[in-house]
Amino acid sequence: MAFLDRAARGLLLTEIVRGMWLTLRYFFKEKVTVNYPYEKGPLSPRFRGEHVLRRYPNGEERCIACKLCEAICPAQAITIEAEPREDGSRRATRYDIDMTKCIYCGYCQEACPVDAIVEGPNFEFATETREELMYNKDKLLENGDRWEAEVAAALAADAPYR
Amino acid sequence: MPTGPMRKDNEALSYCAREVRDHDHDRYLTALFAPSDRREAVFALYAFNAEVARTREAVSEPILGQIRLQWWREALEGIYQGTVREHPVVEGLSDAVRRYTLERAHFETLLDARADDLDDSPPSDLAALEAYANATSGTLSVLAMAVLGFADGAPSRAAQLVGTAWALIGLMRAVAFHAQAQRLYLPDDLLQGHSVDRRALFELKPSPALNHVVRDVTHRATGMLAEARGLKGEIPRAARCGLLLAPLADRYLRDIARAGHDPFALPAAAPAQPLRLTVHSLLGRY
Repeated sequence: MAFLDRAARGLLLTEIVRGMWLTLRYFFKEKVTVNYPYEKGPLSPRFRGEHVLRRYPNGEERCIACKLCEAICPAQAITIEAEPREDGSRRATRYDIDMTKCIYCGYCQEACPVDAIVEGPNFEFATETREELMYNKDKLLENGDRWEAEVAAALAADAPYR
Repeated sequence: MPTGPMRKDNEALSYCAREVRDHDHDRYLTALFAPSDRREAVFALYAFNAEVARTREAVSEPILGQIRLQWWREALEGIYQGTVREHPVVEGLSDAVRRYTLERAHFETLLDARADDLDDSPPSDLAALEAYANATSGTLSVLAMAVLGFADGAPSRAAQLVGTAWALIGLMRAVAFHAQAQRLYLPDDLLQGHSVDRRALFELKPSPALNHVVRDVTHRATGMLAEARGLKGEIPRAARCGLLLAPLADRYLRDIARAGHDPFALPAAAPAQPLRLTVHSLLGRY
């Protein structure tokens, strides 16, 4: 009987019809893929991407060169040099991150008491040469200006209860 | 800066005020009723609180939290020794401390209590939870009352009670938020007394036993608010704007009671109540 059953199914092409029906259903369903890079998937506010150095709304740099991020960095990717400015305020003269060393653990932003160094939401910073991944302060501040809106929103979203 | 309808009046507010508005909206509303010359100092205090209160949420390891708090301890030392660190909140706080001669011990208490946040074990009993709430929010309210010119006596005591009750209510509202991160701010003895299943709690499953614990804690908060209102006769009208958290606390207590004291059934966010606060402020009530 099993043989007859199989023969009848084969003759009437039921398998292929079922398969085609499944295909047709998925044809009209919502797509599970996104058309990257034109569309992007959702990111957690805790996502740790490319670093940024932030500024206060008045344009002043947040970083006060306390070197806590340099001290905590397990990959020793951060190098800071600081000296007092002419107006007496302490600021970093050099703030370098070797992005090839960074392991994106996020300790630098967690240790930063003034929320100056933050790992922003950007993950599209591939380069063609190794040298381009040695970030200096100018590059980091430029990142900060570019991503400030996203970074501030993510920081606020992550700690709703106080 | 982020965009949106809230951001248009950025220029009119100081950095501290903006921080408080964005991160501690309820306290921001109450601070608006402080006399205009003292308001900036109140904002500085609340902004300082917002900065240190988020330590636990900002870090993944206790040691990193200790680092952040140590920075604030040293900043505080700087304020009292005249070497103010360059941070808008520290600068604002420094002005407040100098103008109103705020006691350093209060700030130390607040920071020490925030260090307890880094340890995820629950408070041993209701008294320990109260002590924590008192050291954090109670102390902050006492400081705000000192800025308003009442550093001791009945106004200070009432502020302490209202602040503590506020923290207790806030912690009960945040039970689900803390449970997500496997943190507990419910008294250990009450949890055991009502035999609450912690694993179920961490899986965000409601239970009648848990509701009993929440009810016990909110009952204590209600008692504190009543005690603070009992002092009303001894509190001058000028001090009453420092106690405006009490009407807001009433509203949250009502929400909690309506949800049957189930911390998982609370409305996501209560709408702001500036009008209610205005009425209370005009009538000198709290």
